[in-house]
Parts: sequence; C-alpha cells; structure tokens
Amino acid sequence: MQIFKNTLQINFSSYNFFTGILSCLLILISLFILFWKGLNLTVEFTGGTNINISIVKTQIKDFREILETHINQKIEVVEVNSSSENSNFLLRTKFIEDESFIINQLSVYYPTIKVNSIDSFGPKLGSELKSSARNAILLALLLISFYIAIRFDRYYALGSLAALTHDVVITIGLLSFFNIEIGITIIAALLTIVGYSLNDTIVVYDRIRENINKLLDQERINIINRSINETLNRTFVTSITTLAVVLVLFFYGGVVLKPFAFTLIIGIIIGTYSSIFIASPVMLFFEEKYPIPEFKEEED
Amino acid sequence: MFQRLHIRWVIILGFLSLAIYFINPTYQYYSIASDPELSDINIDYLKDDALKLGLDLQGGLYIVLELDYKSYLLAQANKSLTQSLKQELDNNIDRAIKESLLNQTDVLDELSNLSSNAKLTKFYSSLLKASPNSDPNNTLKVLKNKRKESMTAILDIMRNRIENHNQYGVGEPSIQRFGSDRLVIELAGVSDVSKAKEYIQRTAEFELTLVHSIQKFNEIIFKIDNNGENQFKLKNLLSASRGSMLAIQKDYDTINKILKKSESFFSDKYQILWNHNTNNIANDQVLRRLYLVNQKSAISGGEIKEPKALISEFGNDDAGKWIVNLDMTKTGKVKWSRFTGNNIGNQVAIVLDKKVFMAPTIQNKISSGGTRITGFANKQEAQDIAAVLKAGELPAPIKIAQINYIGPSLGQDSIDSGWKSMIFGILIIFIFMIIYYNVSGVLANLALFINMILVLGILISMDAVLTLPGIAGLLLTVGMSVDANIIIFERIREEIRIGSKVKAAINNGYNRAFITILDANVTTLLTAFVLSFIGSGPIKGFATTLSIGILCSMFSAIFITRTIFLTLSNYISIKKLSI
Repeated sequence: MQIFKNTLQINFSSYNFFTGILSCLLILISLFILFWKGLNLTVEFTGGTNINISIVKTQIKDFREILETHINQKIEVVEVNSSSENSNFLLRTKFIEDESFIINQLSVYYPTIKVNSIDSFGPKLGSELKSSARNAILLALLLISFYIAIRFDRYYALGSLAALTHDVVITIGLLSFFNIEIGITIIAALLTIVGYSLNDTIVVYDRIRENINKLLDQERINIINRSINETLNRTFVTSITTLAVVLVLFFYGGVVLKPFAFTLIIGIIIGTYSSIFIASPVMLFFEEKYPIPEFKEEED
Repeated sequence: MFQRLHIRWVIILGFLSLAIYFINPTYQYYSIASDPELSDINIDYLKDDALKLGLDLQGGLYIVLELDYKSYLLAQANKSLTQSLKQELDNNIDRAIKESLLNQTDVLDELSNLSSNAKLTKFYSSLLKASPNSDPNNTLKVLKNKRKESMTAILDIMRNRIENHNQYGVGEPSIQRFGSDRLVIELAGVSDVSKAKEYIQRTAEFELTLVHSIQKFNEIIFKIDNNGENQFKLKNLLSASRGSMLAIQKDYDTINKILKKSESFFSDKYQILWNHNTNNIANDQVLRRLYLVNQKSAISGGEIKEPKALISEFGNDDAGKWIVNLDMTKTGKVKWSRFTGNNIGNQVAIVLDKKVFMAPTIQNKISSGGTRITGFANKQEAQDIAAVLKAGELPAPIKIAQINYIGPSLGQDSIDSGWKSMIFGILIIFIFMIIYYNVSGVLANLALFINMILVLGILISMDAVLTLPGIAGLLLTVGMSVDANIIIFERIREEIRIGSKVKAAINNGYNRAFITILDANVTTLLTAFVLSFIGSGPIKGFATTLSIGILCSMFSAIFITRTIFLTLSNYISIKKLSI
C-alpha cells in the first residue's frame, strides 16, 4: 500500500504565493487573538491556588452562593467533568498557603466533600517558572538553529527557524482562541511540536542537500519541488502514525492529558504543513536574496 | 558477513536480556501486588528494584517550602539596631525581595547590592561576631553560609519529623534540598492532605508563652478600636469566653487585617494569636478562638525534652486518661521553674507556627522540669500535642511556595487511562504498519516491540519515576519511533522503483536513510534535553522517556531491523520484497 504513487510531481512552488499569504494571515490572526485575549496562563506561571473538589450533585449557582456568603475571599468556580452523582468544581483563587479553611467551611454544607487535587504556586515560584519556560523555548530554538547551521548551512537554519516560529505562534494563537490554559505541560507540548516539525523539515532538507549534489544542472526551485515530492510519502505516513497516537491520548488519556494532546494535534498538523510549504521557500528566499559572497582566492 | 551477523545478534540479544533482567522485578512486583489472593506475600524486597510511579499516578502530596526571607533576615539582624537603621534594613529587604523576583536573582545578592558594605556589616554585626574566621568585609559570604547552615538544619529536622512519624499516614516520604533556599517534600500515597500539610507546617516555630487575662485583652481591643481607623470595631466581632475571645471564622480575614494594621498598639509586649482549628457550634456557626499572649516566650522548642503521650497511671486523680509528659533541658528547667512559680493559676499557650494548639492552666510551680499536661479528650488529641511539642523550633522561618496534591482516585484514573491509551496506541500503529508495509511492517513492529522493552529496561535501571506525562512521552515515541523505519522503508521502495536488486535496495536504503534519521532525531533530542531543565517531576519524566525512546528507536530501526533483513536475505533468496 502507498499513499502517493511514485509518479507524483506536484509543483509546490506554484502555491508559494497562496500559502505565504495564508501563513501570514494565520500568524496575524494568532497575534491579534493573543493581544486581544492575552495569554491564558495557569497558576503554575501566575501564582495562585486551584482546588478540584467533588461534592454531591449541586447547581453551580447554589455552590457559588454558599462560597460567597461564607468565605470572605474572591474565588472563581468552574464545573469540570461532573458525573451523574457528583459535581466536580474547580475553585480558583489567589495564592493561599492554607486552603484547609475553605475545605473546612465547605464541609459544613457538603459533608461528603472530596478533594481531588490541589495546585498551588506562590508568586515567586510562578515568575521563576515563567522565565525558565521562556528561556527553555528560546534556548531550544537557538540550539536547533546552531545544529542546522553546522550540519547544513545558515539558509537552512533561517528556513527552519521561520517554520518553527510559524508553528509555535499559530499554535499558541489557537490555544488562546480555544481558551486553553498554558502551563508547563503545554510548554512541553510546544517543545515537542518544535522537535516534531523540525524532524519533518530536516527530512526534506536532507533530500534537497542530496539532490543538489546529484542534479547539478537543475534549478534550485525544481530541486526543492522534487525533494518535497520524493519525501511526501514519508511525511504523510509519519504524520498519520504520530497523529494516531496523539488522538488516542486525546480521547483516552484522561482529563490531565487532554489539553496536552490537543496542543500536539494542532502542532502536528501545522508542523507538517510548514515543513512542506514554509521551510524550503523561506530557505530559498534568503539564499537568493543574500547569497554568500564567493571567496576570491588571493594570488601569492 | 556471517561473522558480522553473529556479532550483531549477540549485541541485540545482550541488550534485550539486560533489559528483561531489569524489568523482571517490576513485572513480579506489580503482578503480585495487584493479585488479592497473594496479598500476604511480602514483596518489599522487589519494591526497590521495581519501576516507581510518580506522585501524579499513585496520588500524594508535593510541597515546596522556601525560606521566608523577610522574617529570616530581620531575625538574623542585630537586635540593638536604632529605629532608623531598622527601618532602612526593613526597606532594603523589601526591595531586595522585589528585585530578586524581577531579575530572578538571589535575595542576598540583591540585599548586598542595595546596602553599602559598611551598612551591611552594621546590620549583621552580631552574626559576624558569632562566626569566627570570617572576613569582616564580606558580610554577604557570612550571610550565605548562615543560610546554608540554616537550610541544612531545617532539612534534618524535617526529615526527622516526617520519617519518624507515620501517624498521619505519611508513606514513602522524600525530602530534598532544592536550590539555596528551598526544600521539596514528597509524600506519596497521602490521602488526607490537610493533616499531612498541617504536620509539615507544624515543624515551624514553637514556643510556650503566657496567656494574658481577658481584662488585658479588652483593654487592647479598646485601644485598637479607638485609635485605629478601622472600618469594623473589634469589640463587635469578638466575645469573651473562657479566658480567650471567640470570633466567627468568616471574619478571620477582616480581623487579621485590623490586627495587622494596629500591630503597633500591642506588638511591643503582646501578640494576638488564633487557635489552630475551628470549633463548630450549633446553628451552623463556625467559631475560632483568639488568644492574647506574651510577645516574649517562656520556653522555646529546643528547651523541651522527650514529650510523650501516655495513659495516666493508677494513683493520679486522672488515672486512665490520656496525658502528655515532658521534660526540660537544663536552661529550660531554670526558666520554667521561675515562669510557673510566677504564674500559678494562669494559662500557658502551646504555640506552633503562631497558632495556639492548647492553653492549659498552670497548677503549681514546676522546678524539676518534669511536666504533665492533662485534659485530653482522647488518644489522638494527646498524641497531636506531643507531636507539636516534638516539632521543635526551626532555625529559620519557612513558608509554602508550592503545593500539588493528587487524590488517590485521580491517580488511579490516570493509571487506567494511561494504560488504555498505551495499548490502543500501540495496537493502532501495529495494524497500520502491517497494512502499509506488509511483511516489512511486521519486522518494524517487532523492532518497535523490542524498542519498548529496551526503553522500559533503561528507565528502570536509571531509577526513573514513571509519571503521566512520562506515559505520554512513551506513547509519543511509539508514534515517532516508527518514523525511522518509515524513512528507511520509503528509501528502499525508491531504490526498488529505480530497479535495484533486493539486497542492494536494502543496503542502499539503510545507508542513505542513516544520515536523515540522525539529523532529524538529534534535533528532537535537543528539545527534550532543554525540557529536562525546566520542568518539575512530571515534565522531567516526559523529557526522559522521550529522549530514551528516541535513542532506542534509532538503535532498533537502524540496527535491529537491518540485522533481521540481512539474516533473512542470507538464508532465503528474496526475489521480491514485501514492503
């Protein structure tokens, strides 16, 4: 079995104009969403306390009322994954070291109250995590560019960097659009996307490098087209297998992994797209616009 | 050729048997542990060698404690500073904490940047004097050394408290230093979070101090209400009862705000402290006691010896009831004798972490140090107080910086869903590979299977902890590890398409794909490597499994499947490759 027959010869470069506009548009929309809605960060980064509790079936309206009248503190409540017998609520408030007074107070009204999980981060730790997450993403991008600049050359590095930034920005934009909170797990997912998208890009680059040495008389643009066509089968098969496991994670991985899996789904689709339509054209663009000045051998 | 194949097989089987050797205890442990009929078999000896589950899977409590710089640096400062110097130090500490938060730097570095060297030396002259052989021009270094000492001491006390104590259901505790000013405590399998946490917090600051009379308390309330510009009057929020004030728990924050603002009216001589828990009283009112106690404590934690909860012996008036016995150190005895002699009939507060745990009445002068505390309703109460008395005073104040608690049922849910997605994911890949690559797909699946065993073996041999993101990482490697095989197979297909013979196609396919696989995987490894630096436990687990998974998948795709191909093509003359 095979997805694409060997005779496939799609002229990918002819779509460059269209995909270029599409990507720019997506990036602009993502940036717009980000500025409009802001980054939705979890307590891990902002500092704060999340308490996940189960109580007997209760209307969230009534629950809020009890909280308001009996606890002198601003607490946001959302309902999460309630079952038919129990209500699950997520309480969210500023950082408190001692959440037991909330639980004690609630247990007067809901004796069967059960604490499922608590996530509580002090402001100092939060800001530390925030900067280390930011540094990690920047460091990863830097290391990767270096590696590609060494293994290939600087144009490839620029092309892959453009593709990666494209993936990360659009993914974060979509996360913000879907109101998904960004925490450490999501950062891990973003870095995985970076790795994955790069994996795809490098397979294409590798073929371009090989074909450049093999087809010396061909134009660069034709070589790129040919290379993308030749690796297209692999690109799709790998995307399918990876998407398959991530979909399994999304549907069966449980509450905790759902946002993580969702981020990966978006990222894998965008990453596959960018490795075909963004990485190589950008590389070619820089190569033609800023060619390396050829060395003039000095005469002795 | 044959010889080289032999070596290849020896390497593969060697790795495989090593991996199985490491996995075996895990397999035994979990299969015995999950079988109710075998529950009486002692499997503790397997536990150390078995794969450990992270807190997010088995449920438990993860707490990060950090040094409370504000009170620590003030406490370490010279006691006899002038008011203006004190104010300056206070401001500098506040600014240093703010700066360190902003720049992600050490608070002590920021403090020494903000204060001139002469000033710093003045602030901490007593600390400098107390540490001989130190360079008087380098107060910063002395402060850092002191911090190190304090944190080590806290670690010891905490370890002692947690590990010697199982009455709160604290199982498999782990406590570690983290950075220069933090401790990380992991309590696996804790089911009552508030109790366990309370217990950890109990190891904070301990003192025995005089409880002042209600008359005194009323005087101070009067002073606060008349002089402070507060929205609420304290006298309307409190009512006297048995030597202390009762407040409605709902007003806790309001009262605290008033007290904080009006601290200057009483803090020279007194402190106003809450009882550590609330009392539920009829008609749904949750009440809490407030005590007026002496600012200067009579006895501090280090001066108490051997507190013990026991049943009072025959012959005493309270025979058969639970009591707590304790002794004093030499200096404690002298202080205790004078204190009890002067205050017969008064209450003494047992204070931990600025919360009153109990306020027994002093019956007579105690000069021998041996003290009995009576009046406990049950064993639990007596044991709790004994534990409080044992807690001792920490050399430096600490506060909670992070809490993560995962209830046991959520952990079990995660294990179940992790398993389910693991099996589903692998099955889907297996079926897909066979449909897409036929016989070669079977080989790839075999390699994938061996790959999983290798990854598990390495994880266990590294003493890694399996977390939920770790499982996700494993599953992701399953999806990504077939990638190496896909690259190779597509390459071989291309070779066959241009007319290569089977053996040549295989050889060329592998050789050409190698560089691609290497380049593509190194970059993913780089990101996993970076990840392992930022995250805490669970994310580290993800990064570890992902890296190991990628390394193993390269090995299994490049080495194992090729060996199988080579072996097959040696024995059978393959005319047409099923790929």
